[in-house]
Amino acid sequence: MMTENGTKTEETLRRLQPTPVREELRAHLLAAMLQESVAVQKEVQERDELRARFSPASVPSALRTRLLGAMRETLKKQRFHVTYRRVAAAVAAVILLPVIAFLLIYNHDNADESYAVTAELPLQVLSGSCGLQRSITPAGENTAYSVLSDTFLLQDADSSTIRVRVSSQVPNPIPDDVI
Amino acid sequence: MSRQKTDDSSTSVEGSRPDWDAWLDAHCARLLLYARSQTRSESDAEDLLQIALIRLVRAVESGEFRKTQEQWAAYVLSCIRHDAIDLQRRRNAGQRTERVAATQQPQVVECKPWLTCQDDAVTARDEVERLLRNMREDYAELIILHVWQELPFREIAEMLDLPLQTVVSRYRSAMKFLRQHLNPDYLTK
Repeated sequence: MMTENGTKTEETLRRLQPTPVREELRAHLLAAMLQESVAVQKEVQERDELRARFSPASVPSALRTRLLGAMRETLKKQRFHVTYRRVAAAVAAVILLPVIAFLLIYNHDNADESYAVTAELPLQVLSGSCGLQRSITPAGENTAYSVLSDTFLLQDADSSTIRVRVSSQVPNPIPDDVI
Repeated sequence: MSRQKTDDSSTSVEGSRPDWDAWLDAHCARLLLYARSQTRSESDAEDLLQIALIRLVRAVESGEFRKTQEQWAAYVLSCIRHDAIDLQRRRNAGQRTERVAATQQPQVVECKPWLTCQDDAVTARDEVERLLRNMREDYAELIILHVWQELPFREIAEMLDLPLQTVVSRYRSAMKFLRQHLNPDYLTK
């Protein structure tokens, strides 16, 4: 409906023609255009004549050598800086990547710390037979523990130490009575 | 003398590395002419040209300059212009503090020729140069940029940060001044 209305409006508008330009105005505009055209042609001709007749004075060889030397010196410095930046970036990457990886793994392990310890610990305790008697949780008061990457060092009251590898893949928490 | 021709000649054979030597040979005389017109001093002109060229090398090599090689000359011209303005401001500030000493010393004007003439018409060259040096600085700048640097009006307008129409009308006024004061025979061989 809107399209039909729009088309009709356009057709109506197209039937209306712009008012014809007065002859005087047309002549005036044409004269202005011709005048501009002549002016531009003259400009171009003058410019070409000047350019053909006179050219910039040649550069003294001493100055040319000096400028070229300065440019080459800058070029050397610039290329050295680019190389230096690339090497520094590579060294930083080599040093920082392991650190970033460690931090990422550490944070990941911390996120499911209690779950992993509860799940994995009985298996390690049973196989390690270090005589742990208490229930061990990260918040346990009687147990000192520290975290190194994905390995827990657990120490009981008798100072026996067991290294427990934490895995979040153990599906179910081990019941307390197993420990 | 064509810009396209000279720019092609400065393309490196090795590939991506620009041939600075060839580029400098193709553009140096024109750039020095502009530097001379901006500073009116030979030593200042040489220094400003060197600083501008070093800036260009830095910009190109560091990858900051993202335009094509055809735009290098315009970049150098722009650097020369800004540095010349800065230099003039510093000089003016210095002169304000040492006004008495400055007025007592005679002003040294170094006067090396800006142009050469193909057919050794030294009188004509001297006359053109005299007019260029004595006309309004913005007029002379426009003539040098359009005639000898071969920059189109649009690029000049961008460089000078002026409307295109202003640049065109000023250029016409400058050429009118030149026409009025120059012997017509000097423009034709």
